[in-house]
Amino acid sequence: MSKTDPVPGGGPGLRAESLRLAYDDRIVVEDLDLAVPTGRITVIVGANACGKSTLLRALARLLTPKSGAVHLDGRSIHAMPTRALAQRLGILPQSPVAPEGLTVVDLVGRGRSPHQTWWRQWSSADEEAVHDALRATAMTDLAHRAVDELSGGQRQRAWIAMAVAQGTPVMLLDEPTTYLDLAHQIDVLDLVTDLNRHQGRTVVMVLHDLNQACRYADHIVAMKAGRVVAEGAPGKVVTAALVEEVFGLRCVVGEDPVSGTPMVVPMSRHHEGAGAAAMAVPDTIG
Amino acid sequence: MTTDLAPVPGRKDAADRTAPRRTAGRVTFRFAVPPVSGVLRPRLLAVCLLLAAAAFALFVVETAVGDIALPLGDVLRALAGAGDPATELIVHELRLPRALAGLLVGIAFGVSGALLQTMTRNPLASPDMMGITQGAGAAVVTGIVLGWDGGLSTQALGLLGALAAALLVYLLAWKKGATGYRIVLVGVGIAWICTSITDYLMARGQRFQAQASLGWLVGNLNGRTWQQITPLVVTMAVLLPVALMLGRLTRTLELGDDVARGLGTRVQTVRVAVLLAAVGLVAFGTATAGPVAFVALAAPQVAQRLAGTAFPPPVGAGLTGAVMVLGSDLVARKLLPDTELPVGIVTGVLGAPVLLWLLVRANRAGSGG
Repeated sequence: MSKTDPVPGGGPGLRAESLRLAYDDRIVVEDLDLAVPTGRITVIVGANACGKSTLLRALARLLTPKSGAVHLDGRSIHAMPTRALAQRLGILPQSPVAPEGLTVVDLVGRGRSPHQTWWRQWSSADEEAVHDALRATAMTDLAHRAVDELSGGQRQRAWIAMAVAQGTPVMLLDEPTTYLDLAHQIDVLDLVTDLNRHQGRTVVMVLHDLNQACRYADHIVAMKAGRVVAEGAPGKVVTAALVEEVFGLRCVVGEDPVSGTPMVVPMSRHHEGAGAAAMAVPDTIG
Repeated sequence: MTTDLAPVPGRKDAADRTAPRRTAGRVTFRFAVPPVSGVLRPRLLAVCLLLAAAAFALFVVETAVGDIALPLGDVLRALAGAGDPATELIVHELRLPRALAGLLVGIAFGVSGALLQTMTRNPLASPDMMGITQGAGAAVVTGIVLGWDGGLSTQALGLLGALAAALLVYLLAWKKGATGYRIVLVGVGIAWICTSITDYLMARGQRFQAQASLGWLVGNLNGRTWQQITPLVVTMAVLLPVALMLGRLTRTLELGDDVARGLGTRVQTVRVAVLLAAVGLVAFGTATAGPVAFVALAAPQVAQRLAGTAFPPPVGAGLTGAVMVLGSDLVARKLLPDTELPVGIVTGVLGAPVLLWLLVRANRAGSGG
């Protein structure tokens, strides 16, 4: 994998301090502190409306906090020039829509906007970044196809390629697997892991699926009602008690036979104590 | 100074990048000195050149046609300043203002439509759908009915009306930032209010006033003089470069506000700047020629399809607008013997099917645009 832009390994990274986020008067996130581990994959999980997407938007400066601040490498992102921030931190919102007929290479090229000027609209660095982003996402062969003609999985890869071409050390992804079938979900998450492992990019993403979160996260952040309930390595943090607290769901936590990470198997009203019931079944039927 | 398409030295696998990369619809270029680089779209370039040639041809014909038909050769010589004095007088004093008005008004409408459609991500967005044109109309008719008419005051009123309507649209659409969708919807409302005001005034006014109003409202290039054209020429010289530079900033807006912000675009600033430039263009255009129907709506869409781009190209849209206005004016002047129809009637007749086609297409695509 060739490098795109130099990605600094150290530095204080991305952190949120005493963050309070609200839409109008409705407070969504209250007094939240978060230090995103640099060079790692952080996954934010939580029930619907727990404030996880809101938090991600605030980390990307798409939402201005009511109080508190987000710092990137020791500087408040609210005080940084827009372009300077966009050169260091990229965000891919949930299910973005490309204009009809826009080709993949044009979309990915737009990821270079923060690096371009009136007179320098396609530097060699732009060319190389787009080339590498297309290759990293396996989109080279589809570069000249219209984005709206692609399958859901390809389309998402094209958008990720745009974020990759932006060349930011930090990438924020809001539910990158939404609307994808299972095979394409895994495909996208593997791709994100590649970007992290090979290019050293810090990734923060919101995921719905707990098992995928456990499998792909180095650092998991569990949110409930606008607060962080637990954070840390999935193996240490994800327990039946936590899942019950965060999602209000009783479950058994086992081991993912493929990755060895925690695997959450939910219980339900009809299948409570399913293991015992399954054994009892032959007797009942017989 | 090197200005050839030199590859940048010292890069790995330079072989596949030595030549300008010609891929479907785009060629990249990069000069070492000055450090200028960019992406060219050959088809867009070819379409723009053809449109420019067509606009120039129509411009010359527009200058040649009139009570006394002049041979094209004489017109060209007169335009170059090498004709005989009588022809030069006719061309420079009588014909040129009208032809120039057609050319510039077309360009202004086309470019402003392209900017507005890109900014709002809506192919139906244009000054005539968003209340700007109607604001100008209401103001001008007010002036006529109150007896303030006369060439320059009509222009000033048209300008004020357009700016006031645009400001009102933007303020009403504002809710923690104005989204493209809200701007279009509020604009449609303002358009209807302005149309009602215009209709009321025309119903209350004298018959001659209503007739004068109608003559302006339909869009007209008849009897334009240098006095009326000069403000337009000056504005265009200032606003066109600004508008074309803003066009580049709207490229990220097409991807949605969040993506654009993430890519370092100051979304609200760009949106206000684009709106101001587009309104300025259309306001001066309308002040000069009246609201020439459908040009601002159709020209960007026609240009986009001709050039095969995913967005309305501003330069192509401007040239398409010029071809539409000049061509329509020629038809309007020649269609009926002894009568010069206003240009707006022809663009309206030609533009309405374009609007319908866009609506049908938008519905088929499963979105309202």
